[in-house]
Amino acid sequence: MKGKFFLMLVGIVSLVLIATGCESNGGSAHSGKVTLTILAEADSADSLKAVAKGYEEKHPNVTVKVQSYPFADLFKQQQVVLNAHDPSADILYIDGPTLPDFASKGWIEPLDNYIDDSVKKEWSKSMADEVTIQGKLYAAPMNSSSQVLFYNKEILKKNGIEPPENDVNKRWTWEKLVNNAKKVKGKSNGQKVWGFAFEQANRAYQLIPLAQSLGATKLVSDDGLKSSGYTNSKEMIKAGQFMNDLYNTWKITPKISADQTNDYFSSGKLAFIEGGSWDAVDFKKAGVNFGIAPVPYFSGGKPVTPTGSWTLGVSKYSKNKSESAKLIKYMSTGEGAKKWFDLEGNLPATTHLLEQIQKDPKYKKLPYSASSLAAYEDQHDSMLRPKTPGYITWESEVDKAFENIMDGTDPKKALDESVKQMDNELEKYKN
Amino acid sequence: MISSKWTPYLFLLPAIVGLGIFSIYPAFQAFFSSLYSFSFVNQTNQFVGLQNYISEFTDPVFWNSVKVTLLFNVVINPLQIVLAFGLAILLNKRVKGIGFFRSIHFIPISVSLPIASVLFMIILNPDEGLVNSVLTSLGFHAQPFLHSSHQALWVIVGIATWKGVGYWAVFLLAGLQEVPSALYEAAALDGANKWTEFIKITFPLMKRSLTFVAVADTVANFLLFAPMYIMTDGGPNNSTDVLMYETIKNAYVNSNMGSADALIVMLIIIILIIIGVESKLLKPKH
Repeated sequence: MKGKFFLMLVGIVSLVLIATGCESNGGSAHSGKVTLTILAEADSADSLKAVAKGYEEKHPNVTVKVQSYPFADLFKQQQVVLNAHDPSADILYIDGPTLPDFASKGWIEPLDNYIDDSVKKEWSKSMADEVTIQGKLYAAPMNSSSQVLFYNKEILKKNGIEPPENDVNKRWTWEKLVNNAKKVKGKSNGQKVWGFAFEQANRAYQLIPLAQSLGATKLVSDDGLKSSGYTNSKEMIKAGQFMNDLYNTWKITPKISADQTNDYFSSGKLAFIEGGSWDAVDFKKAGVNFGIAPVPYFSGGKPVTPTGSWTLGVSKYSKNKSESAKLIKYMSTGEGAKKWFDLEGNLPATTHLLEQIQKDPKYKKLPYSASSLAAYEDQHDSMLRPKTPGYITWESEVDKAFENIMDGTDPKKALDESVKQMDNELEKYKN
Repeated sequence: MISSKWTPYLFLLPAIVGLGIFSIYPAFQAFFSSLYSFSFVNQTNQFVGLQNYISEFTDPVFWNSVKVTLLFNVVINPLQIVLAFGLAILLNKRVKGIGFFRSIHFIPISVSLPIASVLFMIILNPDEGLVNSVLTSLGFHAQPFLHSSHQALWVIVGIATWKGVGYWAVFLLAGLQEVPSALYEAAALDGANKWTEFIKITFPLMKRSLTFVAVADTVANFLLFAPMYIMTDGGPNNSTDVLMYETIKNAYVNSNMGSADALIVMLIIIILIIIGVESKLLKPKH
């Protein structure tokens, strides 16, 4: 009966081998039919599918699959797939400033062999810059982004506040905004009405322009490998103090998370909000009586707005690189870009669409006028986020510092601590 | 015929194979990976010896995590076990409708921890959360809860206990029902009071169930990170930055798999030591 025992053992071992040894083959380029998989962010998944559909109609051999994850989990998910050298993901939806991170880790394929210079010229200069790292093209920009100041007309009227004008020459200062937001009193449906909030509360994207408005030019060293002295510069600390005051001294900003802020504005609990130009359509749908104005600046400083947004890159481990590159070229230029803009309402990445926005009379009226204000800001006052291979760590530490500042921590202490962690982590990118 | 000596091992084989593949092999794998560091500059995995451990030992954030993890566990494990034991004793009473009460205490178990975390975040929102609305209407000051480095950890202890007590009580209830009622009757005849019954009968006969609950609860709480991940991101000011959260951050934010593996290895060692102590203390004397 010994034989039976061994037979069983062999059975178990082979079962285990089958269970652990399975590996998917990725696409099947040989048969002529190709399936391209995009790892994307959940909010944009439907629009990506819709634009990809246009491509599928023209290329019947191509099927596009979109796998979506919430914003906060997208990078982790992509990292797991890329670390495993998994060929099942072909295209990655990547936030612009994290591109150097992906590139330095060797996760994305340079696209210079697939996308030629004539295509690059279709993108606006700042977007072409964002996707170019050390002279190589690593992704295609899907859109740019900018911010505008929204205000609730009824709340302002009730509190006797003269609204700001939608005129870049009559831009408010932050000091003026704070003074007016302090006047906001009263309740709406039994709940307190607040003065002002940043849509992306405590996120680097919206908050570093505060420091840039105060004169900060660099947030990391030129090689992107040192943050101390840059991310905790006196301008950053001053910007941090401003945030601390909004929450804790003047108490005009509610301590809520980034996914709650727009609801506060939509439901009439917030007088002013700095938000993405794309929010205008949602606020209109929510029935808010609102107006827009350019983002304020610090008196004595200069106006600065954030920019940069989503891009599409090709995974190093994809078996369908050339097909993937063709798809992202379609999606980021011409017809694809137009459809994307119509669906998402974000600031486009192509110069052609940017010019169209500023000419088209449709964009003179709310809610679409937010896009034309954003287009102006993007071309005149925008500054990119820092370029560093450790961007993901950098951003997570800056976000954490601002989170702590909101909870009342001294800005210098919060930023000094974050800088220490960042510089530790940046060590590994040095030669 | 297979000699009878081997028969028990043969029955254990499927479980051992499973344990080997899914627990023991990954643990060794983690140890070996913790000796390597991935160089992004050369795109190679370099052998660095104990460097990952040394960098952790010299990092104040690591020591803060150790402190937070131990503080969290020193409070939450005894708290959960004592409450679960108390609850099990109450649920063991033969009163009318006890089935209903037993079911009620099972409800928190059926809510997944991420969902519970999100719900508690809403309830504890400092601006318009339910708890603060009640507090202010009773004339108390509104509390920052998860936004305070003095309160956040204790809020998480509360939430994890709310969810954990009913679960661990089920195991202890099963243990209590195994205690022969004849023993209590005999003790009553000898004139023992309730407290003496508890100390001389219930507690000694419950040691096996208690050991299991203590060990399993300790492991669960050392590995707990969902509430920190969802509600506080380890903050404010790293006050909820437990080792498990720090590991996840090292692996998936900072892309430091080597450091993450080193942290996991240290966590395994800490858990093993504590479980060893617990098993020794709760060892039945018979």
